[in-house]
Amino acid sequence: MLDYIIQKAQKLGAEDIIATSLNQLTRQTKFANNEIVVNQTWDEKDIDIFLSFKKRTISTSVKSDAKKSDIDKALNKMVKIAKLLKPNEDYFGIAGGEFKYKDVEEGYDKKIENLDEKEVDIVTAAINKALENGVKKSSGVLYSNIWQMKKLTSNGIDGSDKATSLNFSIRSFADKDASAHSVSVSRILKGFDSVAVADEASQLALQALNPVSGEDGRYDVVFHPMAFSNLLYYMSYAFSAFQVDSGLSFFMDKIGKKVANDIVTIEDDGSMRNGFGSRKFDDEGKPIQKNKLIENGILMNYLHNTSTAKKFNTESTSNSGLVDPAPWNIVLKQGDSKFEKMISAVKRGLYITNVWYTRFANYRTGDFSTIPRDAIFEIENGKIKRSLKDLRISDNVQRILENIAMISKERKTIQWWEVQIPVVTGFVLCKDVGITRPKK
Amino acid sequence: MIFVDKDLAKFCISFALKNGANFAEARIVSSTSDSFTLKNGIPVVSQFLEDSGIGIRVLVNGAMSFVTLNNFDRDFLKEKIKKAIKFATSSANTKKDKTEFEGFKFAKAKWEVKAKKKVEDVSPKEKMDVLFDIEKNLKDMKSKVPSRFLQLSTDMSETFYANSEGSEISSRIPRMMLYYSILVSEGNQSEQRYFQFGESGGWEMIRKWNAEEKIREEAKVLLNLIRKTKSFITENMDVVLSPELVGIAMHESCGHPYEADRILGREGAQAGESFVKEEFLGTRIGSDVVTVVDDPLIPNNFGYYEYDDEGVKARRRFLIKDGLINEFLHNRETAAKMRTESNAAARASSYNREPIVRMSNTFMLPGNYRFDELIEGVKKGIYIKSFTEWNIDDKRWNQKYVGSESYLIENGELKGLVKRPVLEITTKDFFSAVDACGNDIGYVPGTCGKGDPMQGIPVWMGGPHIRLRNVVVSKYA
Repeated sequence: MLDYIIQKAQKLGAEDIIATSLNQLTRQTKFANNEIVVNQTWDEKDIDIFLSFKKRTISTSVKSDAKKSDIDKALNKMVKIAKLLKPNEDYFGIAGGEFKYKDVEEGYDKKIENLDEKEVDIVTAAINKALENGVKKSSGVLYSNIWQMKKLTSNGIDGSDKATSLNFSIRSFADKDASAHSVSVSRILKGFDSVAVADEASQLALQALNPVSGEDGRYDVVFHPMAFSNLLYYMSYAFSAFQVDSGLSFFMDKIGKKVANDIVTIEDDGSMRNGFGSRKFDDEGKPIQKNKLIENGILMNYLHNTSTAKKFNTESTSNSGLVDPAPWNIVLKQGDSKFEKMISAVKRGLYITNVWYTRFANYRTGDFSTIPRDAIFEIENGKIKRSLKDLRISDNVQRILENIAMISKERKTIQWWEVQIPVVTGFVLCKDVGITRPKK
Repeated sequence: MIFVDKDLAKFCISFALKNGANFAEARIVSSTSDSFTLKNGIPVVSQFLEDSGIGIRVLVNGAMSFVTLNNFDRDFLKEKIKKAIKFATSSANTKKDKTEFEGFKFAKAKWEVKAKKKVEDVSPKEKMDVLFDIEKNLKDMKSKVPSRFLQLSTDMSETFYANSEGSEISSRIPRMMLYYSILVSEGNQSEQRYFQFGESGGWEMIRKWNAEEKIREEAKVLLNLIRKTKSFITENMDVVLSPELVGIAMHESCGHPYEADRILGREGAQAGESFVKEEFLGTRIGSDVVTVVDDPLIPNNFGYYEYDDEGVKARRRFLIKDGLINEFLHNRETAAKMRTESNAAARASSYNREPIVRMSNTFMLPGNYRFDELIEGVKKGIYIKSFTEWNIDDKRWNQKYVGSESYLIENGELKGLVKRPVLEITTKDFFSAVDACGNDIGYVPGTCGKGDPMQGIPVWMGGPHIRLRNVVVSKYA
């Protein structure tokens, strides 16, 4: 059917055409208060179609079981609408060439296809571990996912890809204001461990018991990977050349300039082994590559599709996004530090284990705030002193990047409800972070 | 539109019951939508979509399972329903606290939001022209507004819901949304504003929004925020909030914490829980001038519905009445757990999402004050008309609103713009500080996010202008 779409669209006068079929089976076991609350299954099969017609660009989807007459109807409508539109002057075509694709190492595991009701066992084992440790309750979710994709383009690209993944997220509550959250994500069953993360979340939740209200001010902050992944995820929009071109990125006009501390290197690596977002090719069918975005504190590149690359007079970074290029796996290069070393380096500070609701006052400047939502600890003279609550980080992303002082060697992949793009990060010590709280 | 096959929904219900489900429901949605975007005056990829699919939910021995497909082949559906029942059975064996639905809800109804001019009949050119008109109206200011992102979306959805208790509800609703983000820049300073219009109804709504004039006026205000503002220091003062600010506060700190599934912990690892507990009903949360409702039935509101996604008839919910916590938002699952009745708050963003407890249109009821009377009563304070950055913790207690268009008030008069005043306050302090409510009312639309996977649903939020006494307003750090 993909062949038919390309040929038919060409007959109708379309120039660039991309047809992508995606068959996806996702299963979810959601739990709350130590009990499974729902099992969900999504079985969806679609074909996405993109075409350009005299620089007018348009996209739609049809079902994978669509008949030729349905396809004809959709394509005719696309061309009819395209004719009524004004040209997209920022559109410069799609990728083309004789591409060879490389399989993602540890990207597919047949065993995940056959887990079925064992998923319930994975969840109950984790709940029981947290209870054994002494927390009152845990909530969370297990996802298993299998997808198969096939892509054909008018530029001769013919690619296929398939993937499996498991994603487990658990938040344990030792009391009403004492919680902690941890996740385990993997493309294969090996190395995936729901019990280990339940152990981590529940232990941390117990340490957070009896919190007192914290004070506002500027603090040195040790971020848990859960917390720092959120900041990296929310700031990643700024790497997109589309956002830069829109005037909404704090990285605008800063290629080759210092934007972070020397120890900061950030890559987008869609080819990494067992990478949660890894894949063979981007939305145009261009093979995935590794991209240095920040190297030793210097901004090296933006993320591009073919059109933004042409506009910026550079090469696509294989991050199409037909409209807005996006990262596949955001990777903060490991440092040489350890969590314990970071804590002992802080005279007066905080250890923040998770945040949410990150919002910007201004995307151009990076002014933002975000709220710790799980365990927060006060650090005094290199030691964790007590559990805190009621605080908010109110600062600027550029300042946060510049003030990173230590990064741990140990890293973790984080992807959950609040962090939609996978982020690989360690513990991070950041100096002089603005902390606010409600005032009376 | 793709045909909605009602017999198929009934077939699925009957098949599920025969195969071990104690309760079954099916929801078929067929929708036509499109979206047009201008980025700095240039059209980017336009989209249209004709979509349809079915979501089936079953209860099996006290466990719930939901399965969704966009393929209507009956044999395929049978196989998937059987698997969903098996999935639920495996969970049922682990459950001590059985999931059940309250009462016996039975309704047969048909409802629709009428449109004088159907959104699906409007040509793409006419839709794009709305965006080009906004661009044109900013023409002489473009150098000062280097970032302009405009997006118009329309959607027409037909839904058929049926359950094993005999409910059959058909509905038809058109919706329109216009989102914009503008950034005004001068020298090395910039200010940003993002906002959306949204209503349910026909194309006739679009010019009523007067988007081109509103956006132009806002651009001017942003420029003035860069050029000339009054200074203020962080201290206790009075604050007057516009319907836009009241709306976001009602949504974030009244609507969300009163969602019974959050109170019960069902969203504990995602959107979070709530500072509110079941036993808080009847206790004081605010001053006695505060009454907050959630009402899906306000005509043309973005979150309009007459029956919820479990087939329960919609009504106004009084969340706070005269300052007392009065009622929570319930679906049939949470109502059963709290031994009460559903008040029709079950919503699903599409066929491929489970219905969960959601808001529709959350607003504070007006009082008797004219706007000038609210201002007159303030010796020193700030009037916040629009906002930019905001957030709230996952228990809905600690919130922050950063003013965008905001004015200093001195001795009962508006004295000029102030830049980014910050109201960072607890929910109880917020509601307790309200001493007067305006006699006006305004609503703003939003796309509320909740659920796992995420379900963005259209809502309205609003209220009158209100006055808060003696709260801390901080300078933006």
